[in-house]
Amino acid sequence: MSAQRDTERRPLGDRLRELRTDPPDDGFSLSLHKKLAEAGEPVEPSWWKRTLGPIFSQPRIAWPALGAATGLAVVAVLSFMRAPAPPPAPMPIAAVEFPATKVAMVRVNLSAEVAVASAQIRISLPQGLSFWADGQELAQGSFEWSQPLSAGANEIPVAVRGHKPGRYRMTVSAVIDGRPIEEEVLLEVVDG
Amino acid sequence: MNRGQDLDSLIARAQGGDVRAFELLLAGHLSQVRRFARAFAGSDHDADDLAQEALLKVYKSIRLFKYQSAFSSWLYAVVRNAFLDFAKSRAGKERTKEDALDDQHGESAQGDPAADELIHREQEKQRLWRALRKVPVEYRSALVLFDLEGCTYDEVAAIENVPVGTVKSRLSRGRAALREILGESDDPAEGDENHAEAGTPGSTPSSHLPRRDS
Repeated sequence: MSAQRDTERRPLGDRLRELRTDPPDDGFSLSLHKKLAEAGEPVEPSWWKRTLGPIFSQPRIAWPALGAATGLAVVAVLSFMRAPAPPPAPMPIAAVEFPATKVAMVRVNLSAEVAVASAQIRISLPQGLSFWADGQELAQGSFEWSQPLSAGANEIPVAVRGHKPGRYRMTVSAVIDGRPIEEEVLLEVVDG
Repeated sequence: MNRGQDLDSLIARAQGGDVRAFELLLAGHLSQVRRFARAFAGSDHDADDLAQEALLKVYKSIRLFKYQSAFSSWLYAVVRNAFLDFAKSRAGKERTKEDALDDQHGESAQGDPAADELIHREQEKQRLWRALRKVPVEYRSALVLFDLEGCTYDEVAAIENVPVGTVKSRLSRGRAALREILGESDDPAEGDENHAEAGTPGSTPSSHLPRRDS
């Protein structure tokens, strides 16, 4: 047992560092190569992952670069149900407030009761607001793309910046099985 | 062609589906990824399978890499997420029966002190690995990356996508949890280690290689 007590007296960091030995290959590389070869090509990311993924996946780096506001929550929710229902008139959901000097990360939640093979989604901004990605303003005022939707929540982060104080409406629409759904998100840009 | 351009070229080729280029990108990281996996797998036997699954995810998602960070940071971030997902999926299932954490002191056949020491060291390592697997997952990867692999605070922060302060907090709690699992009391010698570099500006992280202690 004395050997055990000696071990316990050594700093934990030293003992953990001793675990840093290179394991023998034992066929690991060959096995990995086979799996990679069978995997096919790398996956082409969807539009929003391509444009906004770097922001969403690395906010610790992106926030300082974008000067993003914090504390913005999910705002827009589009619900799709199988039962027929008259399309509701667009109603602004809630005002999200952020300063003109910051980029807001608005998380749009496309909530579906059932999985959808393909939904055509469009997000539009009015004059006075811009999409933001990879540290720069995007020229387009709207983006449209198709993607499948899972049953439940489908969250899409959208980085937006306002040029001057005011109230603006971001429009989120989706066409699912030929049926259009539209909601507006009220964004308020304030001084600061 | 300088080293940076070599790396850029390999990344571009890997994004185009060149498996060999991807393997060259991984060449300096395989041992580290395999060790990292060992802390999350159900057993040593499953560690390489887990490592390969994580590396497959890296390959499939490599087109998402847009130089938002150093390639190594991105690589380990994807690998780490794969390990965390695996750990969560195991949490609700019956755990694989692992060896007990109790010491398994074997005896040297010939009573040779040197052999005894080697056996003891090896058993201690196995015990540490088993204990690491019991550390709460939210602290475990920081322990592995910093204490085991020698990454800097900034590198761990980049991989885990949290501030340096959070890394230090995770390390402190992870070490405390590990000691408790090992059945050891707080070691006064650890006090300095836990607060080492506190208030010290993070060193400039290397882009592609983790910190190595001399």
